Amino acid sequence: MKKKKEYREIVPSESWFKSTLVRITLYLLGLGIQEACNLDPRAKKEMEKLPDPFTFSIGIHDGIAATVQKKGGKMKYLRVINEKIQADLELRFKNLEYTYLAMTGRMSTPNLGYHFRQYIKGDLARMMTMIRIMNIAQTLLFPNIIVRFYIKKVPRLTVRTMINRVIAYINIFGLSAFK
Amino acid sequence: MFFMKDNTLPEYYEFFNSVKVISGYKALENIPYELSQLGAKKPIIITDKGIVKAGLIKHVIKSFQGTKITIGAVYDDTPVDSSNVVVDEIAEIYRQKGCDSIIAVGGGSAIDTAKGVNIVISEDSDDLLKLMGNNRLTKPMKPFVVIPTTAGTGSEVTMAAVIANPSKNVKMQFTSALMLPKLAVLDPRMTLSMPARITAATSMDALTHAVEAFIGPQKNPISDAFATAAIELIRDNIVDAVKHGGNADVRLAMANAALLAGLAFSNSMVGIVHAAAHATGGICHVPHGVANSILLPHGLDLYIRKSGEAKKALHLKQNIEKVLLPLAGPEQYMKVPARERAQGAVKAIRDLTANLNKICGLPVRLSQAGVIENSLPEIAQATINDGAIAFSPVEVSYEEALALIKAAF
Repeated sequence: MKKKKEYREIVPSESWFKSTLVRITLYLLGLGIQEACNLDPRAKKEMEKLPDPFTFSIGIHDGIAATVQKKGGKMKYLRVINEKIQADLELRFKNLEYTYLAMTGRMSTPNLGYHFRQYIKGDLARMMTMIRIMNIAQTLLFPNIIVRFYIKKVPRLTVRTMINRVIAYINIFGLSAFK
Repeated sequence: MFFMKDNTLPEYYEFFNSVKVISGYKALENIPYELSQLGAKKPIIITDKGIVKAGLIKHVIKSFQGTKITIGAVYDDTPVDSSNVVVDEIAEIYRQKGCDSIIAVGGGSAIDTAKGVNIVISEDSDDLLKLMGNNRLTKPMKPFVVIPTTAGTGSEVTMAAVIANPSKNVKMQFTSALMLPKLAVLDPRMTLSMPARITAATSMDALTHAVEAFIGPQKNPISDAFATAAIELIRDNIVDAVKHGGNADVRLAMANAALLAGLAFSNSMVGIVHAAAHATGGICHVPHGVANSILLPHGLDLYIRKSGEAKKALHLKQNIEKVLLPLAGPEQYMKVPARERAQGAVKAIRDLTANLNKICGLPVRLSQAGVIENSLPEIAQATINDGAIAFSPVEVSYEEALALIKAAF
């Protein structure tokens, strides 16, 4: 039989690779939401329905999250932080692993919801608006062949989307270079 | 890999419901014992004038005879649409009288009001708005008993409530597993006096819960079992319940059907039909059961048309085909060729609503239910903003929602 002192606490180890990848994709998603609201008229129209000011945060339960804020009629990406955020609306994945699978396109966002692997804190109607904005943001960030892993229905690729995608890339990576 | 391996078992699912169910004759008489087991000695009863007038509350009060439990108060002023004003008023009475538990007796409004009171008391908050939305609640609730007097909403086993805030003109939605009642009591005496048309509408509400739960993307073996049991009970009893409301056996069967459907949809969720019904109710004040009854076949038609767009693993069309079995019975199911079963299920629902229309005048079109044509675009917009749309197996655009509403008009 083990002695009492042999029973040790187990502090969970960090998964640096997954954490870093999730941090980067959350960062890109946050910027993508900002760019979608600036560039895409559909996203802009959706954003107008949200109250002003309004904060939305997406991330891991008790972990890192990306936050965007609508203020003065503009959507702005704030940052990815590892603190408790008091957002008006939160979308939280229950575990780093689920976030990692979602962010690498191996588990679609709708499926995460169907499986209860994520939860929403806040008004569901506003979440519908944010989901539509995020869908547009993802079509800006990624080619359609990847987007189909994330969302229910991939929108038709138009010249306008292509141009917006290029502008978004320039803005996002341009911004990244100066951060 | 990431959704379903086959049509019978999801790759992953969760099911949760902690409500104790007591169903049957003289079931009410069990409430004092159950309350004592929960450590409660002084419940407040929340109901409405209609329930008192129908003499139903007497059955509840009588069930406490000879026990040591005191009824703190009977609040019977619950309006048709519960509001934060009423919730605050009842919470004040609860505190003044030193109550320690809540009994809701009624339909959706009384039950939702009681859930709201429980939130205010348990969270010790003076502003429900701060707690609005999903998963905002953090504290365990007071012992809460629900006695439904309609057989439709399934609220006795669900973790959601909708409460209006008239001053801010918003309908506040609350969702949290903490809100689940401790006890649901189904006693046939409590639904005997329900008028035929309300019986038909609430029964169709239950049927919609069960059908949407059975074809939704969160379906799982447990929710399927509850959903199909509910559909079979409704199939066998709905017409009798409308025609012969005084039959206690039939009433108990329908109360059970509504509860089973509630258990199914509180875990498997509802989709486009409910999204459109919430919107229709919110804008044109069409009773929820009536709206569901009208919209259910149109929602299924839309799903069948768009089934090719749904993820293959959702087996959307096959699931609609399977609904025909509990809905029409095995003999009828076998008569319908396999490729026509999805449309067969829609036809079975249309036949049922047409029959109910003949028996009690249940509307079969939105125009018959007081919806005006000008409001259709607003209803379509509210439909795609409704939370239930997230659980639609297919993406539904504004244009598609509008087409659905127009077809039902």
